[in-house]
Parts: sequence; C-alpha cells; structure tokens
Amino acid sequence: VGHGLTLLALVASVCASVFFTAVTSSGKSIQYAVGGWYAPYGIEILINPLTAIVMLMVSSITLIIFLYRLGDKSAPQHEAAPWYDAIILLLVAAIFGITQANDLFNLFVFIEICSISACALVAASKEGKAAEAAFKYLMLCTIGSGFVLFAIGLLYITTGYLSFGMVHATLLETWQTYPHVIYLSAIFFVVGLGIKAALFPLHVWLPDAHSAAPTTSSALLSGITVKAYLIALFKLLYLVYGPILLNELAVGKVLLFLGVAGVIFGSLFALVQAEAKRMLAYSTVAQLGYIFVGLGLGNAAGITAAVFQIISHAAMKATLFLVAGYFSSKGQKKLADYAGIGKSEPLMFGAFTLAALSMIGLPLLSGFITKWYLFHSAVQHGSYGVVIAIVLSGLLNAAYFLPVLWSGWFGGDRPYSPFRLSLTSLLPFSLCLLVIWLGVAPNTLLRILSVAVGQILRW
Amino acid sequence: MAKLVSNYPYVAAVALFGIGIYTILCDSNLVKKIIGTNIMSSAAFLLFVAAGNIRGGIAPIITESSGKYVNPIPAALILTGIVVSLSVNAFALALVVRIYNTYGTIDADFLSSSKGGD
Repeated sequence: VGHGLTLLALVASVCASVFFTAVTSSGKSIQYAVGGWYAPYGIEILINPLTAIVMLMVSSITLIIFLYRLGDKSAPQHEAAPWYDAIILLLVAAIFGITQANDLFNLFVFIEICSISACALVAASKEGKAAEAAFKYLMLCTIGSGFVLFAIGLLYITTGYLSFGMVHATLLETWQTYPHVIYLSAIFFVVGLGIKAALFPLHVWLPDAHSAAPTTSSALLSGITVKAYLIALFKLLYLVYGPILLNELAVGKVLLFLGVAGVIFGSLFALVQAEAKRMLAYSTVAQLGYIFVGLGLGNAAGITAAVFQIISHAAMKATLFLVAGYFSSKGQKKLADYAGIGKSEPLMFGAFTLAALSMIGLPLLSGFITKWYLFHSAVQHGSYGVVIAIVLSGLLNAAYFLPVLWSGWFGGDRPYSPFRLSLTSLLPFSLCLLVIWLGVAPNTLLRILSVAVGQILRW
Repeated sequence: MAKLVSNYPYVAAVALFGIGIYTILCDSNLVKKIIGTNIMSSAAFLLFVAAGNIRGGIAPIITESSGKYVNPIPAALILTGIVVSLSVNAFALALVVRIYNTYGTIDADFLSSSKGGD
C-alpha cells in the first residue's frame, strides 16, 4: 500500500508538471500569493517556463527511478521501506519548492530540506561506510547552508527586502553604495551553493556520498539533487543580481574558471577509478562543470546549454547509475568485472552504452546538443580557451568510457543470452529513449528554453 | 576602527562564522564538528537579529503612542532558521551514533585510518 501511495503521489506530480509546462510554454508565468498576501508582506510562488520544464524533468525521472526502487535490493526493505519512500517524496517536494520559491528565505528553507533528505538518502544504505559518507556530506552541506544564510542576511541588510524582484530592483539602485557587501554576498552564494552542487574544488564529498549510497539514492542524487542547487544558484544570479550586476561583479569569470577546472579534473579523476560507481560520481563532477561553464559564459546560448545539460545529464546519469547498480547487485562492482557483460545482459549494457556515448558527445544523442551550444556560446563570448577545454574533456570522456564499452561488448568470454525483458531492464532503457529523443529532436525543448532564457536576460 | 567598535555585533558574527568553519573542518571529533555547525549557524542568526534591532525600540505592536519599534521579520526568519538547525543537529547526532556502533570511535582521524585497513 505504501509503495502504491508514493507512486500515486509521483504520478500526480508528473501530471501537475505537464499541466504547468503546457500553460507556461507560451512564456506566461503563474504567480500565486500564499494566503492572499503579496510581497513584501507575504510569500509568493512563481512558476515560469523554466520552472515548469525543470519540474517536469524532476518528477518524471524520479518516477522512473522510483519504479526501479521497487526491485532494488540495496534500498531499504520491509519496515524501513515507507520511510525511504517518504524521504524520496520529501526530496521531490523540496526541489519543487526550490524551483518555485520567489523569495530568498523560502529558497533557503527548501535548500535545507533538500540537503537533509539527500543526506538521509545516502545514510539509507546498510553499509557502515554510508553513515560516514553521509556525515561528511551533511557537514559540508551545513557549511554551504551557513554561507547561503549569511549571504541572504547581507542582502537583506543592504536592501530590506526578501522577494527576488524587489531585491533586484533595490540592488540596481543601491549597489554602488555598498559594493563590497554585495560582492561578498555574491561570493558567499557561489561558495555555499557550489559546495552543494559540487563546483570543482568543493566537490570532495560527492564521490564518497554518491558511491556509498544505495543504487536508487545514487541515481536520485547524481541525476536530480545536485541540479536543484544549480537551479537555486541560477535563480539567485539571474533573478536577484541580474545580468548587469553580474557583469560588474565578475562572478561569471569565477564560475567559468572553476567550471573549466571541474570539467578537466573531474574527467582525469574518473579516468583512474577502478569501481564503476566512483567513476560515474567523478564523471558527474565533470558534467556539472559544463553547467557552470554555461552559466559563467552568461549569454543566451550559454544559459540554454546549462539548462539543457541540467535536463539531459539527469537522464544520462540516472541511466548509468541504475545500470551500474543493477550490475553491482549481481556482484560486478569493479569496471574490470564488466568484461563481456554485454553478451549476457545486452539490454542493460545497451542502455549503459547509449548513455555513455551521449556523455562523450556523439551526435544524435543529447550530450552533443549541450556541447554544440557551449561551443556556440564560447565562440560568441570570444573565450577560445573554453572551446579547447570542451574538446579536451570530450576526449577524456571517451578515454574513460570507451575501454569499458569495448571490453563489455567484445572482451571476456561469457555465454550469449537472449533478450530477457523485465521491468528492471526496461527502466534504464526508457531513460535512454529520453536521451535519444533530446538528441534527435531537441527543438521541442529548445523552443521552450529560448522563451525562458529570453525572459530572464530581458529582466 | 571606530566603525568596527560601533558595529560590534557584525564583527562578532564574522568571528563566530570563522570559528565555526574552523571547528567543522579541523576538529577530528565528530561531536565537536556538530558543535561547530551550531556556532556557524549562530553567527548567521546574529547577523539577522543585529540587523533587525533598534536601540531603545519596543516590540512591534503599533498603537498611537508607540515610538521606535524593532523590525520583527529577522526574528521570525531566525525562528525558522533555528528549527532547521535543530533538525540538522538531530540528524547529525543520529549518524554519529550509527558511526560509533559500526566503527567504535567518533574520531575522524581514526575513521580514515581504519578505512585504509579493509
């Protein structure tokens, strides 16, 4: 019964997101004042095209991951199962809250709920090292929250408002009076949310937390949770500070530099990992780097690439983690164990292959579209170093994925087995269809994104 | 210098923030790390509350004769902040109990050295 209710709630959230996406796809926003009190006195909720598309991504991918969870032996069973389901729902609720919040303090509260439920998802594993990884994650998350709250305090002191729109309007008028305080608050936001979203030198918690967690949690954390903090950072930078102020404060340059570093070093660390889940975790650091690069470039193409990557990486990384988790539940934890696995598990390893090729950036898959837009954006921006970094990272991605794929399909000698259709093997594949759809026909999504990005840059 | 003295709550907030982060990152005792998070969030709370305070202000119940009053919004926000920090504490302490049951220690240095063994 418990699983049924959770499923019902997730299906309902998918339906709601589809509705919101349909309503807002023309560029309309929905604003709702809780209890009829408008800002600055009350709490406002804002759903714009960007919010709606992110909500749709989060709810549908969580639904697929939750279906996988029903057959996942590493996730809590029996009496602990309802609690685990409740945490998953809490996480989705917190992410919806982050995307919809229209004032600084609610954003902070939802970020905290998201952090606590994410840590609980890591700690849900029965292994002892999961508790240790969760504790490390929780401590760094708390430091991040401290920075965010301090930055909110600084903004509140200088402007006297909490609502995004009002803070933005006041900042534009008064930022020259307190340039250091405003600059400090922007840096604190970048550091605080950078810790939670694994911005390169602050990513130290991610490999432990994501690889120690149960499979369902790893997919949720790597695919969805880190994206929530990126959305929060994105909203703060572009709705609160706004493009003009960002240009003055040079925050974009910091993000660009650290993003490029993340892309390169994340891939290098991934190259030397022996355990599949750890390799995927480091590859997440690299792929998140693209999002920071896109935000740092700050032009229309860059932001489009960043948001597109948020959605496409969620699908790719969820697929990879679900497949890696499925293999590790069969005792194949190390990449060396993957030799010949494509012969015995063609459907599962097929999904892994497609998602990995998309990560490398093969045309007709969603990863390619991100890189295409990033190239476009970097050339427009005139930063050719970024172009070189993206090419290099593509090569590095190939360097750590292709040997695995090669030995999986052609190495080892295992008996060929026919396609065994089961729910567990279909789920990663359905995520893969999303990857292919986004790669072959990205226009549906790109049209909505161009409306959303146009709205933000005009502000 | 005179500016720093007259704004002493903000100076205290920044100092506490630093002490908190230092404790979280550099102390090897897990419980002390949790105390560090408390010091750090207190710093942020102090920043808010100091910003809302007006010397000589009264509670914001506005009548015809009321004069200066204290801004209630920071206090209301910090109440929420305290609840959030409480729940983080409870969760962190629960994790420490589990770590102690698994490894028999709450010292981070010992944890990382025992991990190398297995």
